[in-house]
Amino acid sequence: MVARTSDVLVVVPVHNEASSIADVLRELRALTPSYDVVVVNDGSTDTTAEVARANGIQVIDLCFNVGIGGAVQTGFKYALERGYQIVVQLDGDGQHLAEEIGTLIEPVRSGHCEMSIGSRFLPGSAEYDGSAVRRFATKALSVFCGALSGQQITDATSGFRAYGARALRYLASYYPADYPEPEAIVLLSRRNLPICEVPVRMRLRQGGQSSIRGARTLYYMTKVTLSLLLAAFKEGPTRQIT
Amino acid sequence: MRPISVLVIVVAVVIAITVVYYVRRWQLKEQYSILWLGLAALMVVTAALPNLVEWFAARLDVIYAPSVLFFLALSFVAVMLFHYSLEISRLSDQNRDLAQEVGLLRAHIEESSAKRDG
Repeated sequence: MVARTSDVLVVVPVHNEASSIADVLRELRALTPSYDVVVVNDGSTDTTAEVARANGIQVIDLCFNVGIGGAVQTGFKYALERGYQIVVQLDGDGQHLAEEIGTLIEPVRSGHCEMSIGSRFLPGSAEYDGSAVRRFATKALSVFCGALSGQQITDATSGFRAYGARALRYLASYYPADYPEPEAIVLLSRRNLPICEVPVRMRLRQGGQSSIRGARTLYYMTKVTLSLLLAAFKEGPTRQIT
Repeated sequence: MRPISVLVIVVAVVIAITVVYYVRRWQLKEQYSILWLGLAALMVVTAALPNLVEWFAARLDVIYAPSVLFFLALSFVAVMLFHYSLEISRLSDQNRDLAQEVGLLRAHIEESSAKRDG
């Protein structure tokens, strides 16, 4: 096993991101050279994995597409095996900025929270110009998530996050399969693992397309709302995660 | 015995033979075979003793006795389907865990051989 060179691991889940992954990895190398990086390749059919390897990055290949939840969870398991204290989740499509990782990690590092969410909608976040429908959907979900977790949430669907060791241990065993971001908020808050948000800037997508668009938005909203309600009742591990 | 009763019994026997055939070829788990054999047995009993269904219908205050059979058959199908949903959920979870495990192991192997060669 390769020795850790840092206690922070950046997990980059990718599915057919050949057009953007090289830039993302270059930026990580340039701006956060001290952190370890692992790319989880969720059954890509393009050259994403080759590009990542050519950049000298450790790649975990999943032999078929298991969905974003399963891909991110692979990163959690990897981190747990190797004793990382903090995991950063950063999308492979170039939306998330490596230069914001420091801001994202800070509250986890200081023990202020176990999951820190990079929010596009806090004062201090930069303008986010998604479509009106998307903005509304994100907002509605965030309010709902906030109500279920008993705190204010502004960006429940953001996948730009940092996790502390306790959250990692929990999520490595229990992480929702599809559209996991909002559900993870409810699950962690039910386990009394504190969550916080920090304002970040994000970029418009460099390549690829959101998996959620058009008529799927409605389906997504229904499915997520239902799973959030159920998440509030899900059993957790019988012993407290410490 | 009415022709329909004979037909039901024949179908039940065919179900039983089919189940045993697939279990012998290791293509059907015993766990499921019990369910299907149970169904076949139930079919034989209701066909052989039509009065049983009548009696049961009267107990439940059902006017048209055969509807009790429909109800039982639909319940059986619903239970089976739910059982399959559970089974599929379990299998897809295991499938995901396996894909993750294989990926992690492969990463492991790549690392160790890179270390050896380098």
